[in-house]
Amino acid sequence: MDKLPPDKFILDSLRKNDVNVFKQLFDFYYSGLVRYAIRLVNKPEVAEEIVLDVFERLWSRREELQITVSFSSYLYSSVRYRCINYFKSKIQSFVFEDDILTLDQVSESTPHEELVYKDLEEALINSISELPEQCRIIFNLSRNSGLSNAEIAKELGLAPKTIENQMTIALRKIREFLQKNWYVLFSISLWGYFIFHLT
Amino acid sequence: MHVDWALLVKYFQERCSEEELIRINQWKNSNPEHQRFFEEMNEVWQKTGELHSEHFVNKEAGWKKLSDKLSLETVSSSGRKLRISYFMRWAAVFVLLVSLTFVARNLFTKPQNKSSLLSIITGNEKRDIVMSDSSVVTLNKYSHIEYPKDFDATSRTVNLKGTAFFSVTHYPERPFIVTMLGCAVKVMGTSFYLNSDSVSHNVTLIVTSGKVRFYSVSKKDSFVEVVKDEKAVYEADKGIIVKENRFEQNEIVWKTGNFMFEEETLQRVCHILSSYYSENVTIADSSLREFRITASFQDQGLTKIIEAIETTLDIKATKEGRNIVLSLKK
Repeated sequence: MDKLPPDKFILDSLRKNDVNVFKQLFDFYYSGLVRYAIRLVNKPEVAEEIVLDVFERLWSRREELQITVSFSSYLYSSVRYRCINYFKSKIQSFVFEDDILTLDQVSESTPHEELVYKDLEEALINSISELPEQCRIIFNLSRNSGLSNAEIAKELGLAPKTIENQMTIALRKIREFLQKNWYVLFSISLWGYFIFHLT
Repeated sequence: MHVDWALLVKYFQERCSEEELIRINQWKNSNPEHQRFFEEMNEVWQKTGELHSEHFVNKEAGWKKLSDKLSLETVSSSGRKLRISYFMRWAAVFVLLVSLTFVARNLFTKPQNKSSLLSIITGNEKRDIVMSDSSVVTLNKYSHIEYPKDFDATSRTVNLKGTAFFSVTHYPERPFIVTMLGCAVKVMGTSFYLNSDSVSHNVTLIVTSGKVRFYSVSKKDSFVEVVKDEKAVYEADKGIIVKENRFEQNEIVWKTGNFMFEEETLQRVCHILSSYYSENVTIADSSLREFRITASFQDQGLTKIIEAIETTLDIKATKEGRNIVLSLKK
């Protein structure tokens, strides 16, 4: 289970309707693809749906399928493409807070419950899901898809400047969230600060 | 403290010009507080690119969905199938009869029940069951599970006797609860093994992903949290739960098909193999009992395993019906 046959063999087997090889391919890539999609769309249900769609399409198009790269990059780029499509439909209707100065007003209007998270990862996941949707989409794409600002701007039909501004807003808001909800990080570094100054 | 956030993002995205790099370094070095802030944000930035790496993905449920949609069916290799088909037929008839009896009994005795309760008992075969929430249960031989055909909106409760592997679909608002004699396991979405001993009523829990709550029914509010790769045992006579740090791969071999022997005595190996296969493996010469074996076998038939043991220890195996006897070479 931990090793796949060569891509060429998989492709041939798929064309011969070999379900077992399809299952092997699925088992090998499914979890990784779902985690990748969650990093982009932030919602496990949506991520699973997208990945299952990609596999469904792979199977139904197996006869005319041409894979010029590898299965790995074919699957990952299909998932990424679908995530971007999923965003596109949403992003048209957004009004962007391009002006960073509005940030403080916005954050003050949404009071947080005081929560303490056990680890940074958990706190970060929550801080990202608290971001305004358009901001979160751009931040996730930028951090996880491997696309540059210009490429993201092009894909989403936005100005490159908008991407830069939204990234800045995202980072500020994440920091704000952590400060309110996750004191450990900051207290640890405070200790570090003391120790540093004592020695 | 003044922070140029746009510049900071530019730096993290590696889009800074020479002049901007110098500016950021100057700002960083001008004040230890700046330095500390910068390091914190750097850690935050790095971490945001590697989130969800531990997220539990329910692969079995995903495959089930996909294969249902495309009406796919995987076929197991034909040789093996022929060999066991005789048993499979009888087991299937047996299971069918028993489950029909239970379903019928439930239908007649509890006509008021909102959702009908399904009951499945396995004979000499394993069985995969997909529940209405797409959670998948692999029921080991001679085990019994009861679960509602449709779970209600607030919780998912099933009852188990025997051994099963659960791969539970994640629904944080609908906890999944497995009840057994005297104790219960509560999870949101994860995968784990359960085994209740029919004689001692002890229950063994092994978690393979995520986190579960294990508690005795009499003390519901004091639970033990068991995480990935941990094992816990409910001791029925004392009514307590004891956590153990590690478990033996061979405890879950019925599901994984993966035997692992590390410096194991031949006697114990025979015992493990006999409990997994329907053949009975015994030792003829008592001097052989303490021979030690280190090996792992993945999805191999008993014949292959016995052959490997024969060669490694340079001994002889004789097969008579369902009995395999190991002896010294004459």
